[in-house]
Amino acid sequence: MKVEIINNKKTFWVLVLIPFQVFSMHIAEGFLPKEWAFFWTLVFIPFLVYGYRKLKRQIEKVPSTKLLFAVVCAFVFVLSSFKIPSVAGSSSHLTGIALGAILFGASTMSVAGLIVLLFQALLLAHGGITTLGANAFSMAVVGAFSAVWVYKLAVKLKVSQWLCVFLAAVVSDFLIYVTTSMQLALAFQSETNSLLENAIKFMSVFAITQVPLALIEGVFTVFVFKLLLNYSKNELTLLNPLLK
Amino acid sequence: MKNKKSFIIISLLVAGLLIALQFVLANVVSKFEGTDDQAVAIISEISPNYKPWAFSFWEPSGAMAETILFAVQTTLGLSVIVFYLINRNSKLKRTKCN
Repeated sequence: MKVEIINNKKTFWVLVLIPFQVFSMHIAEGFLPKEWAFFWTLVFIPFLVYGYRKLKRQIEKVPSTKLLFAVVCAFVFVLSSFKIPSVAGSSSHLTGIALGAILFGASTMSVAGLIVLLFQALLLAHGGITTLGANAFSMAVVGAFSAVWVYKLAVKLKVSQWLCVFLAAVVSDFLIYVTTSMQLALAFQSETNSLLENAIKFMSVFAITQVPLALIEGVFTVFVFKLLLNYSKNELTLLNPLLK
Repeated sequence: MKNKKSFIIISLLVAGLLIALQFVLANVVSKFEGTDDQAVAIISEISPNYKPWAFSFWEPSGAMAETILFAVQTTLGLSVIVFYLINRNSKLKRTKCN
């Protein structure tokens, strides 16, 4: 009898939520318990403050990078606006975070991520204000820092430049979705559902879909990276001496 | 001069194609399930009593409105990128001429 009630409740929520709650690449409005929403916002704020200051310094040092930063944000805008079908009959989004992270430094992407996520939450009802902190952390912090670390590692291994960028973009895109899975798994763990079980469940949805998309993201990122390097080599090497 | 013009035309064409792709993909994607929706299904499965505590105060009505809004996002981003490309391209030309 009890099982039946739960089952009914379950189907009730599935029926109620799926038609109205349009989900996007990230966790939707209200779908993270209050304490977790608060926690991730708190975690994100220091990155945002540090990134904003760093960006301000960079623009003061090389004023012409203002337009370049706009381009990097625009790249995130364009890539995250595409819903792309993938294997296993599901669809997901690209992120475009790696490009800016490599060019401007990982922390500055907190600013770009916040702009894009706010736009999507307010205008498109994708993601949400309450889940902004968690989504920004996965996309703009984990995504950006992993991109920079992979890029630096690949440079040390003396891999050719396009491959460094490609690997950084692929790993970053993939890890963003692993982080989202972990955030959901953490928030919804209980006596009956261990963290590990949850993680496997969420990961099986996100990870498989994301692999081909991560590869597409890699291709786009390399293309635009080469384009920017071609047009703005001087500013970019001033920003990041690693790019020579 | 002619080169500059064709560069502008090509950039605008590519941008237009990408925006058109948004509408093509929207038709294809409707047959695919978003990972986001799958995640909701998992949440309601492992935690059936969870009720979302906040809702978007506004939401595009219908699939077409959503597609158009996503296309707006694509267009906004692309216009910045195209502006940058045309701006830099003409600057590079000028410095080369000098």
